[in-house]
Amino acid sequence: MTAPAAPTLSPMCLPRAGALTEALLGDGATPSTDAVASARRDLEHGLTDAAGRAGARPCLRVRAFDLVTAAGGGSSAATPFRWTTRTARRRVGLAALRACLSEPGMVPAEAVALVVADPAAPSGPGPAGPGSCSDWLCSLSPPARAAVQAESTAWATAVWTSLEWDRVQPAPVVGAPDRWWDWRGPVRVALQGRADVRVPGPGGAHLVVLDGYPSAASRQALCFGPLVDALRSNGAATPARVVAWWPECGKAWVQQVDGAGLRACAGQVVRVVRLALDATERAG
Amino acid sequence: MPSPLPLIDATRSGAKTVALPAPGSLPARTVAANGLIDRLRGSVSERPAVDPGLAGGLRAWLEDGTSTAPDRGRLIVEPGPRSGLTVLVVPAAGMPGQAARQAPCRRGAPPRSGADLRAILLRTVLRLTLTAGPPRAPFEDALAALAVSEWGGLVVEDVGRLSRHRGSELREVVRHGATGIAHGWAPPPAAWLPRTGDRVIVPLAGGRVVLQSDSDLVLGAPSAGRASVCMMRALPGDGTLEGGKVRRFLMLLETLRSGAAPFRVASYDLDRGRLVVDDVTEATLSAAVQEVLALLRRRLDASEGAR
Repeated sequence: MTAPAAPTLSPMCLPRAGALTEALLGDGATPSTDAVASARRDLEHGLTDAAGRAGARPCLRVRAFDLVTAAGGGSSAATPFRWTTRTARRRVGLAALRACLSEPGMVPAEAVALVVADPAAPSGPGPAGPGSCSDWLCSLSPPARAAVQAESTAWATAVWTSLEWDRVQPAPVVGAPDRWWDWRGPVRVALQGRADVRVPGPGGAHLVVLDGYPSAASRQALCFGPLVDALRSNGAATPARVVAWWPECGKAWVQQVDGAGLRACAGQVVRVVRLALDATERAG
Repeated sequence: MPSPLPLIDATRSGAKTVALPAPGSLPARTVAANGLIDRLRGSVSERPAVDPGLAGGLRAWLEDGTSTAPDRGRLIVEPGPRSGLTVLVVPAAGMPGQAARQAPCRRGAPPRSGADLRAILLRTVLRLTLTAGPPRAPFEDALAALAVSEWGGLVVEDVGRLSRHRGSELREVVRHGATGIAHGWAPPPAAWLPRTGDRVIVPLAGGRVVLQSDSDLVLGAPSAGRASVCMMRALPGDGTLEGGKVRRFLMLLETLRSGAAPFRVASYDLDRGRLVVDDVTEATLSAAVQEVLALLRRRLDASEGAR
């Protein structure tokens, strides 16, 4: 399966925020409902085929991360999730960015300090509950919270300075909850779509902030969030493009969402599900 | 304008200057550890215009020099735990950047030495100080902060394995170093966009070579045509040849990442509480490229010799 090409932003353009904002607001049509229906058929057919050989097992969750990991030859199951300064920085950072957008003059360091000081507040890093980021933060000692604050401030500042926010219209949605699409066949599969910033409406876009640096494997996952949106809405809420941005290396890729990209991504999802089911079979 | 502080000439203070390509021309200055953030930022009027083609030229030079890197694993160049630059070889499989992040703290690595632990703990104290003010119990607070970081738990384990006597020594050394840090540093104004632990990763040769580092303090918004960013990294012992290499490495990485050179890079000497400042020029950036390529060449030659 060939991943779609994704043009990169020129490193010569300064300020970078201008170029990234242009990329996010660029022209382009969303894929047709026929293209979405075709991707859905491919996906459901592939999942049915893959699940036909599988015994009973709990729901399989698939994220963009899993597509990248599988394409790179790794296994995401090897590293169980735990809250750390690194895994919490996105939640805390997004809450801080929402505060910066709603309070003129506020900057990330101030906003992050407020979020970390009162994680259980409505403006905190998400709903409270066992295992949640806000419960974890509440349980930390002051120096541990300061460590989270430091890492989150660096992340939030990188995102805050990456865009010319006042140019992004309609108003962007920052850190909206992940979107899910469920497939209930012989095996239950749940796709978890994520975007850090969503520009809503027709011709909308996703900004996805990623760790590390891009590779060939990264291309496989760019259309994953749009695929989930397309499947959920039957194509009515599919974004026109995705901008993937790696602040640690300063690279950005722009991916126009089209039928071919959605079908390629659906193929990768089927591959990941096959790998997971094969691993379960070998272990069992 | 920052308040004037006595600049100590690097040669008179005994600090060694750096080599490559023109050792005497590199503008390293040493300043007393007081009002260090003002010294780091300097005056806005001193900041040069950015040459937007420079970053592309440096990258092309590096890509050229690393194009023959072997495909047997990933070569990671980064500041060493105490001083200078090191090259690590890690497996190429896995997520992009993941192996690079794991490299310094990989599980199964030999326990860190007392000097390494001291450097890690003091850098953590510095970051806490810059974020929330000086910690009340520096040793314990640094351990608490490390325990919730991605790989810091391994450092906490190493500290836990020390004998009672060595643990007490380490606590005392960290407490003493934290006093110096509290004297020189405080949380910068939020409007300067301060960030600590800012990580930069620059892949070259299709990811076969990775340059990476993290800074203890970065100030300033991204450039819009004039250099706008300054950065600092703490090092145990500085003003040496190796400290200069680390500073030039930091400025190179930031230039490659952002497309604009920072205006100033400093290292903070954890032993003596001094800040060594380099203004960024084309000469220092060229020196950084030469140093990275020379380091890689030595490492590859050594590997070939061993085979």
